[in-house]
Parts: sequence; C-alpha cells; structure tokens
Amino acid sequence: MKKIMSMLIIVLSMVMLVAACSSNSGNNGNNGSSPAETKKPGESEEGGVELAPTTISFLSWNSEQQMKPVLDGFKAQYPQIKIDFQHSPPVQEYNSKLQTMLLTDSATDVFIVSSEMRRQIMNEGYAMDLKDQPFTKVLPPPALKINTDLDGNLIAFSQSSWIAGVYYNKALFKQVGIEEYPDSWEKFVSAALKFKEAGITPFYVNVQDLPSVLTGLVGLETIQQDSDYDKKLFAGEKRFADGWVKPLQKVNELVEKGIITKDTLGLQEDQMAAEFIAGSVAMFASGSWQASAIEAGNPELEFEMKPYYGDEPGSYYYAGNINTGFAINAKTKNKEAALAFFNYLSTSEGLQKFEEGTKTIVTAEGYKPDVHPALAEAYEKGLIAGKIYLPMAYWQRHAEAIRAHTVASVQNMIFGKLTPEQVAEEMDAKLAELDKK
Amino acid sequence: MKKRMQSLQYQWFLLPILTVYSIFTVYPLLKSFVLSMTDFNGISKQYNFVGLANYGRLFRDQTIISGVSFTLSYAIATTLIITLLAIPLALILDNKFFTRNLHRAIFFFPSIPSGLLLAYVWGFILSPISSGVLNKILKSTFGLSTQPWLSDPMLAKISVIMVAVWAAVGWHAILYLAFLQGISKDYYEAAAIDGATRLKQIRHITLPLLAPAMTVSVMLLLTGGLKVFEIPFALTKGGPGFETYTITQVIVMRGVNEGQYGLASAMAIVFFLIVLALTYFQVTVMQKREERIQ
Repeated sequence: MKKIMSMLIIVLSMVMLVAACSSNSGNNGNNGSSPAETKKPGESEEGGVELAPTTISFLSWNSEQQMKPVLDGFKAQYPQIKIDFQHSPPVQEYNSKLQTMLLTDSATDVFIVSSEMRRQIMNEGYAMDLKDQPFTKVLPPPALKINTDLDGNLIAFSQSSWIAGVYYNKALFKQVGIEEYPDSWEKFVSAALKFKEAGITPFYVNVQDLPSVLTGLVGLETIQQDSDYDKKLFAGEKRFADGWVKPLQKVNELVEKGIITKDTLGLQEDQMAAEFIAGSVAMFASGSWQASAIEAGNPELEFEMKPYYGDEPGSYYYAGNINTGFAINAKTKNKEAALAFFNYLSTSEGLQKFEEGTKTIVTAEGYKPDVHPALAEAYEKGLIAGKIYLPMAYWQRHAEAIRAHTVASVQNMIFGKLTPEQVAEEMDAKLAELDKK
Repeated sequence: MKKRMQSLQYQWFLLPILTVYSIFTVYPLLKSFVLSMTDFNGISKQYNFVGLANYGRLFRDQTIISGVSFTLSYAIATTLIITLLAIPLALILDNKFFTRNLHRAIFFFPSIPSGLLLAYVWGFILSPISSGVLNKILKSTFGLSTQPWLSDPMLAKISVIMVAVWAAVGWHAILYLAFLQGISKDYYEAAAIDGATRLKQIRHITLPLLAPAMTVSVMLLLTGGLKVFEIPFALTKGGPGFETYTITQVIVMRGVNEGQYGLASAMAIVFFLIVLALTYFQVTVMQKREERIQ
C-alpha cells in the first residue's frame, strides 16, 4: 500500500510539473488567439469596435514602464485587443532573443527591428511589407529610406530618432573663463586642457560601445564629403582605412593629451552620467536618451548638447540615427490587430504617448515633438538638417561583428596597444575575414 | 528473478530523467558537432556543409588565443587561491565558538545570488575613478592613490579573479567542513596522547583525510573556472580591449553576436574535448593520491 501511494504521489507531481511547464509556454509566443475565433474579412483599421477580440504578442526594445502610456492608450481605443507584452533589454540581449525567436518560428506578432538586425530581417523576409499601409504617411523620407529593402518593401515603422553629441556643463565653463562653447576642434582641445589644468575632469565618452565622438567625427570627416562612402566600402571600392584613420587619429590625440583617460575603460555610461550630474565633469559625450535623466538627477545643472566640431570653425556633425522600428511578423496570424496597433502608433495621440514614455525624439510628418530644451539646437542643426551618422545603419553586412570588434580595438588604442592606423587595419581585416567564410 | 524485476523497475524509473538529459544535453551536443561542420549563420534557414574548415580557422583567430590564455590563468589562479583559503577557513569554522553558525551562514552567502548580480555590484565597488567605493575606502584608510581597478589590463584580470575567489571561497569551505565532520575524533585523541601539537595534527591527520574532498573541490573549481562566463562578462565585458575575454565569451560572441554559428560550434566542441581531457586527468591523478593516503 505504501509503495503504491508513494508511486502515485511521484507520478502526480511529475504530471503537475509537465502541466505547469506547458501552460507557461502556451502563454508565451504568438499562439494567443484560439483557432475558434473568427476574424471578419476586410476589416478596416479605424473603428476599433469592429475587430474581433484577440491577443497580439509584442517583443519590445523598451521596458514595460516606458511603453505604458502607449499600451494604456491603445487599450482605451481598442479594448478587445490584448497585448502580450514581452521585453528584452537592448542591444545584445534583445538581438539574441529576437534572432532565436525568428529562427525557431516562434517570433512575436510585433517586434522591434534594431539597426544590427535590419539587414538580416530584410534578407530573410521575416517582416511583413508595410508600404501600402495608410499609417506610413507620417514617416519622413529618411525613416522610409532606411527601412526599405532592395525589393522596395517597407519592413518597419520608425517614428523616432536619437542624436548624440557633447553635453557641456555651462557653470564649469564659466568657472574656467570660457564664455562660448568652442566651435572648432582646436578650440575644443584647448578648452579640455584648461579643465585638466584646473583639476576638473574635462571629457567623458562611453567606450563600452563605439564612442560617439568617433562616429560623429567619421560623419564630419568622411560622410559629409562622400555620402556614398559606406556603399563603396561594402562594394570593395573603398576601405575602412580610407575613411576612419583621420577620425581615429583625432580620438587618439585626445588620449595622448590625457583628455580621454584610461579610467573610461572601466566605466559604464551610467556611472559617467552620474559624475556629470554631480557636476564634476565639464563635457559628457552622450545621447538624447540621457537628457531627462540628467535633469532629474540635478535640476539645477545648466547643460546643453553641442555637436562635434571639425578643423574648420563652424563645421560640425552629430552621431545619430533613425530609431529602431516596429515590424509585423510576416507569419503573424493576427494581421488586422497588429495593423490596428501600428495605426494607433501613427496617430498624434500615439506619437505623443510614445514620446512621453520612451523620451525619444519623435520624428514624424506633421508632428512637433516636445524636445528637451538642452536638445533644441541639436534637433534643428542635427536631426532636421540631416547631419547625423551611425555607421552600423549603413553597413550592409556583419554590422554587429565589426562593431563589437572595433569597440575592443578602440579600447586597445586607448591604453596604447594599437595605433589609429592599426585599428582601421583591424576593421578591414575583420570585414575580409567575415566575407571570406 | 526478483532481482531482475527490481533492476528493471529501477531502469524504468530512470527513464524520464534519461529522456530529459538526452533532450537537453546529448542532442544539443550532437547537433553542435553537426553544425560545427557547416556555415550556419543563425538567421537564415539555409546553410552549407564545409567539412573541417571551421576547425582550421580556430587556431588562426587572435581573440580565441587571448581568450584561452586568460581563461587558463583564471582557472588555475582561482583553483589555487580558493583551495588555499577554503581549507583553513573550514578548520576555523569547525571550532566551537559563540557565533559559529552565523559565521558559517555569512561565508556561505555569496554563493547564493547569481554571479551576474554579484559582479554588477562589484563593478560599482571597483569603479576606477576616485569616487569609486573601494578607491574611497583605500584613500581614507591607507592614503592610497586611485587605482584603475577595471581599466588597467593587469588590475582588471586581478579584480576578476578577486571577485571570483570572494564568491566561491565560502561554498568550498562548507564542502570541506562537511568532510571534516566525517573524520573520526579518535585519530585526534590518539595524536594528542602521543604529544602532537595542533599544527602537526592538521598536517598529518586532517589534510590527508581531506583528500577525497580535495578531489571533488579541485575538479569543480577547475571545470567551473574553464567554463566561466558571468563574472568576467558582467565586470569588464571582456575589456579593456580583449584582456579579460574568456573562452565562453568568445564562443558566444562569434556564435550569437556575429552569426558565425559554425565556427562557434567548432570552438565549443574543441573546448568540450579539452575540458573532458583535463578533468579526466585531474580526477585520475587525485584519486590515485587518495588511494595512496588511505
């Protein structure tokens, strides 16, 4: 009797375990709608009441807290559509998760297309074509261009952009007697040296990713002269050495003069932001995503974002790009509901709620974003004028691989192991290695 | 007849766990071996068979070589230091004193949270600027200048090893402590009667009888050290440059981030064989030592 009872208990617990696991997996993924539900054909995207109740799954790049305003607003308009919200933090974790999902045919109905994954998603046809949808009318030409593949399909809806430059602490500048922000490279370097003499940390830039000072300078020195540089690079007509050596040499100049210190090798961006907020750093190269955090951390700090200036006084560039875009899984079973979600995103309410939650700069036709005062100049002179550059957005192959390797090579340059020319050589060698396989 | 029935019963009972093990361990291993001979890129469903080309590329890759060298020094250093610290710690915790249980819990605690979490916290403590926690303490107590813990190549390696030792010493001390309970008190009494000092007792009774514990502990430390990923990754992400890259990180980078699944699988298979060989060698040597002592 005892033996039978214990056997029964063991079997029961195993069955419960299996049942618990399977019900878990049933909630994830995109099999939210039961086959019994019917969708009326030819449903229009307006008039939310006509859509049948369903659930769409969404893998988000932003956290649930950041997307809350959008999700709440959408629920109010389309109460019968539930969103199964999933999240993976950018960049590498998100890319890995999405890659695994796409490969195993278990991707969500809606997902975010990152700069690194864009090419692959286009090549493999994982995203639905959106070009004939009504909501695309709010996308400005750069957003359309970057998300259109070689066959003319629009694979993602990007309603925002980001921009990166140099945040400068106005009070510290006054303290060392600099009235105007330096508008040339030479003046920038001498200002930094002045701060160094005064014992103030002159400049922080995040080197755990491609430093924005480097990419901004590449935009200034190379892309401004030849907007087809990256196309030629990947067609084999040009090399990284042709366009990247001069910017690398400029960054190396900052390293040699002690303006970029070896400390930066061990610091994360958040730690640098904390130092800037505390008022101990004169200039902090970072992006639009930090503006509200800096203000929240120290409301009395007077700061503004300035571009990277070149040798010629007044010549400038920013780092930046059209933001990640929303895409619909080509294999989705909830097409109408997903399109309704995108439609909502394109309304002025949707755009405003997205801006409110994620604090990114919304760049959409007919919409005036509520830009943080510190970013006002960057918005006009950078985003609107189109003087922004992000290499990975234009690299046609192996974007993530080259990026990751270059990050390590630049770090090697900072602690003196490589010369700028060698870093460019390594970039060329990496591309050749990846193309050969 | 009854014996056969019984052993059949046991086999049936083991079937579910054997199935789980095969699905989650054996099958992926075999699949990795197959993939190591292809050019699978992680995104496209089409891929081609390339034979042993990936294996050839392994030995020409710079990052792999630097990854192997750091992983080896990490594994050996952590094994040595943890063993040298855990045994005395176990001996101390074996004594009777008032807060004995509290101290045991405190030392065991670091092995409970995930390595990733611990490393993130240590990343803040070891911040290389003057406002970093450790630097502040060192400055106020000893007047030391700011140390670039995570930005200098050598210091970064030392920091990673330091954090790993801190995280694992307690666990291994408890392991040794458990084995210590199994040593009969008669030996100590006999030695005390013969006039042996405490130190002599430790050297001639405790340490030899801890040989089985050492075999287990060293094997776990060596394999764990070779397979390490979280602590170096969370502390330095492999930086500065490629200095603290580990073998597992290179495999993840090449495979998942760069989409070179074929090459990464080849790396993983070679790594598996190396760890297998090392472990077999180490366990055989230490078991022989155990037998000699017993």
